[in-house]
Amino acid sequence: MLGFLKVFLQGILYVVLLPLIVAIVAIYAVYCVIVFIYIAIRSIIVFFMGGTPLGDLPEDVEAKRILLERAQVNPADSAQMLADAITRSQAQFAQSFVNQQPLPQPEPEVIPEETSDLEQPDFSSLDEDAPETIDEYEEKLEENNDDQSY
Amino acid sequence: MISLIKLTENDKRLIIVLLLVLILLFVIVGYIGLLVRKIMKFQASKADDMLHDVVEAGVITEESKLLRFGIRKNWRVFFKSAWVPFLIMLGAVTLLLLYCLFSKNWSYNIWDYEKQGFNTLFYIYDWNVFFSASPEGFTITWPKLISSPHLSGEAWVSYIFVPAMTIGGTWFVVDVQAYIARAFRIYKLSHTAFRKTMENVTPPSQPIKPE
Repeated sequence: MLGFLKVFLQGILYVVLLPLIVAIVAIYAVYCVIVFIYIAIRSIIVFFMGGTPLGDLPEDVEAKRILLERAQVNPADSAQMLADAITRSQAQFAQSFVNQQPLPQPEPEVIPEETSDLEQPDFSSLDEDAPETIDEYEEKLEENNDDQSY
Repeated sequence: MISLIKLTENDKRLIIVLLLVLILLFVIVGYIGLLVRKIMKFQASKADDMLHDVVEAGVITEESKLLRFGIRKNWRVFFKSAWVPFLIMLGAVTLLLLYCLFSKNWSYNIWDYEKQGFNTLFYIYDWNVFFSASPEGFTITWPKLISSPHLSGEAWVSYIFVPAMTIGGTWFVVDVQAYIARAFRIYKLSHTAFRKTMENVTPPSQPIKPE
């Protein structure tokens, strides 16, 4: 209701101010016709003098040049930062080599023991006398060979 | 002695209908005004596009220079958008002038409804007898038909001139409205672009100690 009333009152205001609005628009229309004729004549003169009639203004050209330069400078800044980071990491590696100090190793990841419902294998049936090292295994082999020879 | 106007039931109904029509008219005008304001706001946003680069690049740093630059840029934008309707109107006026020159008929009436004008295409009524008021009350009489639509060979210039001027004129007025909207926006921006505001200022967390 308030919105309707607001629009109704604005409508009354516009009807009352309509002559003033029409007068302002008419004055601007006449001014725009004069401006139009001026720009048309100026464009024709500039065209026959070899220039660009409705090209960019000098301020626009200068602004585009400055903004283009800024855009070209910005990617170089990013590349410089990356190069600095690589150089720093290389310097750290070289320094650790010279100082015979190990590079800082990342902490080993602790993997939690898996708990599952599967049955754990039973190692109790394994031979208790089974060799645990290669030497023991070779000795065992020699003993077996000696036994077999008899 | 004051004689009061006696209103019949029909007269009262007529007054109520006229009041409702008046209220509806004001509401329609209000909504049209709202629409025009929204369109002008949209047209004014072009001014931001016009001024952005020169301010961002630091080419213009003064209010007066920004205003002058904005006015010159606005003229160019207006010319680029208004040359088509201007040519249409110029062509229509040239056609009418050439016709009057070659036919030697300088009293050519483009609104005539009998032979020469654009109104030959419409129903024309005599509205003089529509509404009359008397001490006995109001009377409304349906207007009399005086001309039916018909094509006239003599009116061919009006058939071209009136639509061309209507289209060209409406298009030109819309471009003038856009020019006015951009001009107001340029004026406002030139006064606020370089003004400092305290709204987004955050003081340092630690006060700076004097040396």
